[in-house]
Amino acid sequence: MSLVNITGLHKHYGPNHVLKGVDLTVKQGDVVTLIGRSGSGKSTLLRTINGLESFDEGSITLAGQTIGSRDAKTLQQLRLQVGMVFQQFNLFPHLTVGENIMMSPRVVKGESPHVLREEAHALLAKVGLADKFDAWPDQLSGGQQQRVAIARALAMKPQVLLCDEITSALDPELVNEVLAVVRQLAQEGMTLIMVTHEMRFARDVSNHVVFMHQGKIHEAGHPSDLFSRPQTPELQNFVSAVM
Amino acid sequence: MPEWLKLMVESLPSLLYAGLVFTVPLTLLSFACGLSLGFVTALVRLYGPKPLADGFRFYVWLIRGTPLLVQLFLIFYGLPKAGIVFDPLPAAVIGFSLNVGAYTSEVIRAALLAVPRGQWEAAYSIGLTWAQAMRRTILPQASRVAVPPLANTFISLIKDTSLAAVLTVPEIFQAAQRIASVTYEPLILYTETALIYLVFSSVLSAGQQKLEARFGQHLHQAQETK
Ligand SMILES: Nc1ncnc2c1ncn2[C@@H]1O[C@H](COP(=O)(O)OP(=O)(O)O)[C@@H](O)[C@H]1O
Ligand SMILES: [Mg+2]
Repeated sequence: MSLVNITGLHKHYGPNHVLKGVDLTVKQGDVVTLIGRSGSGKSTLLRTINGLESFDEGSITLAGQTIGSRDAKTLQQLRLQVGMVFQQFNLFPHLTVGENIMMSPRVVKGESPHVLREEAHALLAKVGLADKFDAWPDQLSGGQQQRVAIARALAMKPQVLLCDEITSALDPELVNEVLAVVRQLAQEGMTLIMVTHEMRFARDVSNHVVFMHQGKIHEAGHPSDLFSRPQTPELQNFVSAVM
Repeated sequence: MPEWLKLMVESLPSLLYAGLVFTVPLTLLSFACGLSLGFVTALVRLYGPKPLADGFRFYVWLIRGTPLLVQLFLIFYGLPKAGIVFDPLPAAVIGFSLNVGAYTSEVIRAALLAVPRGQWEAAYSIGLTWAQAMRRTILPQASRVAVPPLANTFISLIKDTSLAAVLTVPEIFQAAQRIASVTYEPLILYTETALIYLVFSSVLSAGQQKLEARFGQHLHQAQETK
């Protein structure tokens, strides 16, 4: 059964028609990469999946539940199943690393302090930062902050993780430590939908690549086909420009 | 003991009494009410429906554009003409609260807006509701920005409460006036009064620094270990 099902999705920002009928199906365990030029609607598409953006037409279902309801309670329930990692990390600067990670399970699920700490420590170990529980975010490098952000998103045990250019704000030498964590998640069977400019990485880890162009899915397929035999001139141009 | 010092020492109990029984409670109560009003005003103006937001904007405009002394006179001496009568102390609390509310609402509004949008999105993305996001992530960060200007408002308020003397509230300044008028020693008494206000505001400034240190905890610690 499909985990995320998007059909006929349209979105406008004022007069700007940003998504023009997007259809996308994501199965459990899929690793889907969205590629495309800046402004083609990749971020907007990701953000509609956890309700950070509304949309005008079409439907999104997540594990059978329909998103799109403007009802705050429903949206919040859905967001618990969709983790998101942002380009700018967006850690809570007034909380320690451990508190950042425990926020959602503590506030939303009301888990006991003992369980919370244990799970947070385990997540930190998973992203290779076992010794940073009591550190403050601005004591960490960008790569470390982004790994904490991944741990924070995983703390609510989401069904799918959205990653929007999560290495774009990083110094080049810090990119790989973050990609390694994502790669490991993919291997463990986490369902991932990500936007990235790291084409080699996308080719390695994804099983489905979606090329967005002017608010539509212009071409999509398995990375080995898509990157080596792009069908449309737009994708051919894009691929030769970025690879 | 020189005459002037003797007078100061003799009048100190009356002045301190007026300060502790009227000035301090008037200040604390007005600040508490004013801050709550300011918070509500800021929230409505930022997130409320337009007509309501406009109403609060009008209130801020009105208060900030007119002298505090005139507002106090209107409430205490003006409103009775319209059949609304307040005792001196409630009239003063209302006047000061409205004033503090208008000024602090601007401070709080700016502080809330200073928190990057990404913080809201991060909070929403981990399943927090609007109220949870506000309380756990936005307010703590906004507070750090807001504490210094709010403390300024508080310190201004404790001095402004001397205006309550014109509403016949027997606070420090009125007590000083009363004693000065029988002893004919305005220089000594008003100097003493000024000193008392100075002590009050200095104590508050020290409290402000403590509070700032607390809200800026993560910054200080980061600086120490970097
Ligand atoms: N909050 C917004 N308000 C108005 N226009 C926006 C907003 N966010 C994105 N857009 C517009 O939507 C289009 C798609 O943007 P985006 O989804 O961010 O593209 P991408 O992530 O592929 O670079 C762009 O034309 C952008 O200018
Ligand atoms: Mg983008």
